[in-house]
Amino acid sequence: MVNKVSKKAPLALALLAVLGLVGCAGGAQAVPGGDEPIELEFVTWQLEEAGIQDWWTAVIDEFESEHDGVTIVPRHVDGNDMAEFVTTRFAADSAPAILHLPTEVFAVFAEEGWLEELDSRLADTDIPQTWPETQSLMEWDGTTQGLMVFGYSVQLFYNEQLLEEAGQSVPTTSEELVAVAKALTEGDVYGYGSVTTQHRDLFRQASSYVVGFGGAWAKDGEYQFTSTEVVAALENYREVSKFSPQGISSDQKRELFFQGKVAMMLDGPFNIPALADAAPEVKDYVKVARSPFDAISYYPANGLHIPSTGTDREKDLAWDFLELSASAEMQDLFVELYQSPAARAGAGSEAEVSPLLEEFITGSAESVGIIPSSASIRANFGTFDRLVQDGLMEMLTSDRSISDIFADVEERLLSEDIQP
Amino acid sequence: MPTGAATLPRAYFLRLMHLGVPVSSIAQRAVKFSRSKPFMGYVFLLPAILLALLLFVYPIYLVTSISLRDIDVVSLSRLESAPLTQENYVQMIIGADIGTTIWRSVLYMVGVSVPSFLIGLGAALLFNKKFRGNRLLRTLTLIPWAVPGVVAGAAFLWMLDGSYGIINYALASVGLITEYVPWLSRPETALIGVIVPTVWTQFPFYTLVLLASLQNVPVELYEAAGMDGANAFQRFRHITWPAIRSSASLALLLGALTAFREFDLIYSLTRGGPIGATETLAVRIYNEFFVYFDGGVAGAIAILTMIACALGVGVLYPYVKKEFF
Repeated sequence: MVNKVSKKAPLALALLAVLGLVGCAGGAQAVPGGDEPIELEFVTWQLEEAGIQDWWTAVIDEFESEHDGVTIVPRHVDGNDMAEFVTTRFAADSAPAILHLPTEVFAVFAEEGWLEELDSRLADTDIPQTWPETQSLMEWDGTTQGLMVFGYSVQLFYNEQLLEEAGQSVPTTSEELVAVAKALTEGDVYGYGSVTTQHRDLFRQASSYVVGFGGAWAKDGEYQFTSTEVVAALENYREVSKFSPQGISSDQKRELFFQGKVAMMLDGPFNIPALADAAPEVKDYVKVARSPFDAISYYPANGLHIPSTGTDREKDLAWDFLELSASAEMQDLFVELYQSPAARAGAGSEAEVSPLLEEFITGSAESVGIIPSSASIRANFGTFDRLVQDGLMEMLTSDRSISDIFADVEERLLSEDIQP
Repeated sequence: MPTGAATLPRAYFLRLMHLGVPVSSIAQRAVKFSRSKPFMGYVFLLPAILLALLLFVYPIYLVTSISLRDIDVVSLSRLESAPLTQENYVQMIIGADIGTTIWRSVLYMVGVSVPSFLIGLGAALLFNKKFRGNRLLRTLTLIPWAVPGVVAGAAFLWMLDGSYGIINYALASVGLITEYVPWLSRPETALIGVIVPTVWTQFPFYTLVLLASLQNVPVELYEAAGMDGANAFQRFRHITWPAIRSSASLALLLGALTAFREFDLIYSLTRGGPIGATETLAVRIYNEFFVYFDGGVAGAIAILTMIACALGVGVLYPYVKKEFF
């Protein structure tokens, strides 16, 4: 008996190993059909962010209560790792059922044909009539492939106490912004918080200046890096950043502001719910004023998408999720919980909102988008963003003229065949 | 028969049997079995071979294939249908400033390996002495080696902060700098800013290896040299160094390779910036794929990195082999 077992065991072991490996390599999972229970993975970077995490939870709970046997599996991925995560999952043919993407990288995935066309589904809703114009950024190759979730205007947060102690008024022009920042910088307190390191928010922040000064990175098929408006905007950015802690990202900027180490910062409304965690001596003195630039910038931040690789049932359910998030009820809740303007026009008009939100609501109406409309830039946004960031970092860390720096950036972009 | 005897080499049992060492009947049957059926040896090896193919050969094949395809980012199931091209290699050579990236990687590798080795050697020499608290200090010294790169990166991100960092505070306190330096956000200081944390994580490896060698050096040699009037430097040069040279060579080779491929620490500190100042080959591969979405060029650089590592080992291995084996 022992002999028989010992002779057959290795053969069986080897066979099992081969079958196991083949099984692993096969990969295809059975997808429940009909009314069978199903799990839909939903990937976002906002599951740990004050305010918005409560809204996502509410949407998920409501969706699950409306869909028996359907479970949403939320997965938090850090914002910096989102592109890597999604790329890897698509490469492995295992994309999440519901995707939440930053607007800048949407086109990269759309270009690969990885996102589902939504036009026919949108046509049966009031979304085309009630969503802002920036919903057009969800279009690629002639079709709509996403639903804009959130966009925001950028306004000036300031610490009223620090300004009063220094005898300064709230700046209303770009020149005043520099002067007040300079006056407020003393010891370990900085007058202004600015992104001063290589970071994805560096481009966004610089874009606020460019748009604020009436410029654009690209216009009418031409790069505008050396235009009067762009150079003046970037000169202002360079100047005011001298009164900011050096080498900080947007997260560090916000943290220092809420600790009372930074007196002013340009940022979005999502900081309002985060105020609850601010230092007690800072919390009551945080105010919001209109951005000190001529124009107000608008960042169409992110959207929801459905991978084209899912099954029909997964796509239908994912669409139900998108539609629910866009419903009037959920959009009202968005304003209440996130203390930020929702995408749906008129949403949250009855909601209890912080007085700090007022500037953002009025500002959204007159704001100008920061993402260039060129298809070439959007399809190659990673390279465009990195090359512009390189220029911005050189601007912040050297005395070289801005025109020269950005003439080089333009040359590099064109050599990469990224057309304006 | 000891547990696992069936997996031991046949020669081992034969030698034992010829020497008259009593081996259990099960072991003898195993030897007879393997002698009569050599094919079964391969069957036993099959799982290991398949695993090796899956974990080693397949990834290399995949990267090579990606580097030869005209793709940006693509699902692996569609990879084979993408057209073949050499353009990624051409692009890497003429358009990607690859020479600078290689030079930066070498600079980083040397900048990490030399100080790590010297600090590790110093610590090993110290811990080879008997003093109170030696064991505790030795254990504490090894901690940085166990800290994941991302965690070390987060800690050093704050320590190297340009406005509130403790390193700036310490340097300013002793008068080495007059104003705070944003180490990680200035192109001229960023490489130093990533080398310092890497040295912190790597020197314990050298300490461990060199200390193990030092503990094999007979104390009598030092006593004899002392009686002959040799000073500390002469004792190190003529006794310590020859004794640890072979381990030091191997440790340096392994440490340098680790530094050359380092990714997580650099990426968590600077993501390769500012202006590419810390973009080594490993970080460049990541950025090409996940930031620029250029999978083909990323694959080509990965192949180049693999060749560079193989060449490095090929050049240095004969020396190490001579010293060590």
